[in-house]
Amino acid sequence: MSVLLGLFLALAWPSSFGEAQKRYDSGDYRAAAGLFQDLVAKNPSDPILRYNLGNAHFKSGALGPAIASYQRAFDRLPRDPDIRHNLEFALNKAGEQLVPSGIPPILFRLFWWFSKRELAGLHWIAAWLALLLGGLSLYRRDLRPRLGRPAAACLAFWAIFGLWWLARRNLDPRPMGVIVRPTAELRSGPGERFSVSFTAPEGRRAQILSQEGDWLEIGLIQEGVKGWIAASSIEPI
Amino acid sequence: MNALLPTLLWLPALASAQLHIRADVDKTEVAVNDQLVLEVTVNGPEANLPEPRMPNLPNFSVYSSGRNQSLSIVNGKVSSSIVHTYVLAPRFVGQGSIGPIEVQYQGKTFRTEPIQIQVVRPAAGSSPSAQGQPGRPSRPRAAPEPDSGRELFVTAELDKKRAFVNEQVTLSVRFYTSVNLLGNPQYVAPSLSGFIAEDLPPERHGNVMIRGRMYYFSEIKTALFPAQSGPLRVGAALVRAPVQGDLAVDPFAADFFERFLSMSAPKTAELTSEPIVLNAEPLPEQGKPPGFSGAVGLFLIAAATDRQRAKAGEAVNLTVTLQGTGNLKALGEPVMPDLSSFRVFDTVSSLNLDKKQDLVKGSKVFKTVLVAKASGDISIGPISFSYFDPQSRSYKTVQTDAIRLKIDPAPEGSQPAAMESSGPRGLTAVSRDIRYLKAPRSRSLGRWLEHVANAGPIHSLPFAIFAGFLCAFQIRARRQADPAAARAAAAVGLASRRISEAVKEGDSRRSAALMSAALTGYLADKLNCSASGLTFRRAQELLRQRSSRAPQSLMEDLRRLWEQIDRLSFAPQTDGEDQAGLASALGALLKDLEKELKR
Repeated sequence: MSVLLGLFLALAWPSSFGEAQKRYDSGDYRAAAGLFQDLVAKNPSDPILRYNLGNAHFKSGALGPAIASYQRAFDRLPRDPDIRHNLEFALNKAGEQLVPSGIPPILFRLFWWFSKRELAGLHWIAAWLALLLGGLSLYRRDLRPRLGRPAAACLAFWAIFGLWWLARRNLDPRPMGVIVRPTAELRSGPGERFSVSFTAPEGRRAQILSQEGDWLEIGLIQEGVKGWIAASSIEPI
Repeated sequence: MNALLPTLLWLPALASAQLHIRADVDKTEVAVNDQLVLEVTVNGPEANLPEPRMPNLPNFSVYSSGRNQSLSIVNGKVSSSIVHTYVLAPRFVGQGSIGPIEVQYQGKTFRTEPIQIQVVRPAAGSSPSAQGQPGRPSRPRAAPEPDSGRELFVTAELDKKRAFVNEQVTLSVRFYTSVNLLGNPQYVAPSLSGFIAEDLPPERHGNVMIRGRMYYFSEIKTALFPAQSGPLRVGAALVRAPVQGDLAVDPFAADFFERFLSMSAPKTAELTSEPIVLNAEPLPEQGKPPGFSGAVGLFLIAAATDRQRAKAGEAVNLTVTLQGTGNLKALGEPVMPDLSSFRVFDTVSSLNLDKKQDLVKGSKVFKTVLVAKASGDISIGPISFSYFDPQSRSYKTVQTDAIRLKIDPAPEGSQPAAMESSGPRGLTAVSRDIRYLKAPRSRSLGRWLEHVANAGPIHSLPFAIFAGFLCAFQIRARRQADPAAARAAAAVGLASRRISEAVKEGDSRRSAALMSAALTGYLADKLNCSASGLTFRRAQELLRQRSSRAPQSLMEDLRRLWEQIDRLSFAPQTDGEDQAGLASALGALLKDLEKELKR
């Protein structure tokens, strides 16, 4: 009986992309966001689903969750122009910029061309090729003229991707979160008995520095200030 | 073409120099103690029409009573009509003339026809008191205490001692006289540095009893708006009154001679009021809303478009009206919402002032021509306006409802509104929004790379393979550096393989040959000599050289086995048991030799 009920629910529940798209097109953005959320839960590593979820949140007026979704999509597929555009657009609404001031946009685009996971994958592929080709050319003297240069190139890529990955790992403020409450209050300590130091607008990205019960210490990346915020006011990425 | 109309019609060159000015009075005959209303109407093709220049009117005191402007924008063409209202108070009996009133526009002078006014003596029995329509009726309030015995004096007072910057304060200047004047008095307004002043006509008159003496008074009111904070000084008001000389006597004295003698030569009495100081408070910083432009008073806002549906490229007039009480002339434009979906033309404003009940009030209308760049449902607003309410001492924000417009696509062949009329055409940003949904992708390079990154321990494999290659390389290098050692190391393995082959071999002679090769090969490899032609004697010698302490029994076993193999090589076909036994013995001998040679 429970199996039949589950099957019925699975068939009746419009969890497909097409159904979510229909809701989105009809202006029922909240329902679309719910459906995209289901799809994301099934396939959390898909940046396109996260992008679509961000769109539904944005259109329904939830700027914070929208930026959180776009940021997750951007982390996985930073070179996608649509993801990039929408994240930039939403960040501008929250008073923030995707490209930090002082950094040429082309440099930022190149540095964030691959995701960290992609860089790790490329690093390992280069390592495999460098080790196999290097080992083979070491053992087979006759193959050395043909395999030497490719092996050296793979070794260079191994180093480049490895250093790139390390630089990204150190430069990306992690763990990160997005403020999801309109005008969230940052206090001087972990609790409501501490005075409010700042208010931060919804959608502002922050680095999570520490946790004390239900309170998180965060640092606002753009302003360079830190304070304590209720955990419910921020969505970790 | 339709879309170009607003642009073309806004060009100043096309603003025709057709301007009209007209003057009207409510009456051409007026009593000297009465007033008349003069309306000067200026019509022109733009919103900012010049102010008329009033001529010198020595027979009248002139007070501005406000202005009323009507503005219309039809297909982007602006036309405006401003009615300036003045209240004229006659000063002398006789024939007077108003005008011509002039206005300068685009280098040309336009003027009205002069208007003849007959100023007559007041009719018998008429009372000049309580005049002042449309102003507030003169209130019977406590009269100031004049110096004892003064027949003429002037007072000035403000309706409040403290006020906020830009809040209306009303200045009342009163001229009292208890004697008959020989003509109308002349009023010189006080210096009002730090204030923005606005006349509050009409001049009011009346009678009041002060300490048992009947005075006739004239009152002039002025609305003042402090332009800055701090103590602001209202200077002394001056009244010049033509009177009979030597007024020290009581004009109402019963003594005829005294009165007669007092009527000496006329003179001009100059009377001044006491200066007044007003403390102007700055507007509080706390709670000041963003977009606040300094308005103080009480205001309402309304907004409307001249239509709810239009085509892309067609002009829509947006009218925002601010109505209320306060310094409307200084009122700034309300904060306009995002109008990025439109081409927005300059906003023109018109002002309508009304000064009834001694309050400066009215409306300021802002008209903007919007041309929709693209079709769709577009929402304008809400439009908000912030002001400071001095009554509640707080900031307030009023806002309109959002205006919804349905914009239909432009007809085919029409010029898109967003495009310029000449030059190369490019893309024009209409509005900014997020991009649309994306269909999920089943495969992508990124996902494949992620799988690679997540492979975990598998990534140790290339290191192991490389280590294997490295070991093999080193072993080979070592062998190449010492061939004898490499030969000796491989000797037992090679011999064992040959023994195994010998056991499997069915032919006893071939089997014996394999075992012989195993034995001689092993010894040759170990002793670093050639296997071909190696005899037992030579082998024994070399073994003795290599291992002098080799036991005799081992040598005996070697000799016996050597002979058995030789015999088997030349003997007729034997059964497999002999081969197996010999191979086993050979294996055991090689083990013993291996042990002995390793010592």
